[in-house]
Amino acid sequence: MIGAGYYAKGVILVVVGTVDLAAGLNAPGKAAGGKGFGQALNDALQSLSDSQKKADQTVENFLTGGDVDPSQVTVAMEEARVKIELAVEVRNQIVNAYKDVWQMPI
Amino acid sequence: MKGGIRVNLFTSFSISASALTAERLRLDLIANNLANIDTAGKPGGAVYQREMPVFAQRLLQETGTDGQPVSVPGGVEVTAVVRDNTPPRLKYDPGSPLADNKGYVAYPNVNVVNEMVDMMTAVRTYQANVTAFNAAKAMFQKALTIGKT
Repeated sequence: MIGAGYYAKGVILVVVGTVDLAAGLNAPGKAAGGKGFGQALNDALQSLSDSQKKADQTVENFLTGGDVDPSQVTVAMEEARVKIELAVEVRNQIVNAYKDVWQMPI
Repeated sequence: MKGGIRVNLFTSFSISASALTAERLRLDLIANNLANIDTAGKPGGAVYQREMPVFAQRLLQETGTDGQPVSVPGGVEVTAVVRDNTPPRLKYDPGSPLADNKGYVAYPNVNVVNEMVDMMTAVRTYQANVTAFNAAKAMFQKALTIGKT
């Protein structure tokens, strides 16, 4: 579980590296009145980071014998797991798009 | 409904989680009732009374699709723990130190059979909510496979 935090941070660093690129994609989205892609990505990463922290905190409380409902521990871990899977999927898509762009014949 | 409700997956996780916590509290109260089934007292004095939880629907404030705040269902919360006011069971036992001048002792108004049925219901409801949580998670994981051939 603690290792999952480090993995998530690695994923976040890779994806954050592309946020500058994504910020350039803000313009069309904002014109339509919604959040731009870059902003949505930022929000999603923030939410992932928050849920990781909350899951780690809940597990730590449980392991140090604190008064924690076991169902809350499991639910927090599952939520963090599901968000990591989503972040990995987003990273895969971004990396594939990057590869496709670089493989275009000049 | 005016404006749409934006459905958030993690709301469905927290709905099921609130139900799990509420049913565990219900089970704790049932266990307490069963533990105190023989906590007798003087009639008219302090006798253990059966405790029951009061559940209410929890509404979360979210922003709808038109930007206006809208209340979405957010699961269940325990608003109060109330005591059952039915009169205690009177048992004729003149030799007991708790007997009043007529020889009756007051026993709590806890019925073992009712508590057992409530306990089975609480366990089944807990299992049903775990299934609902797993279904929401399966739905999400299936969504991640969109576009994969």
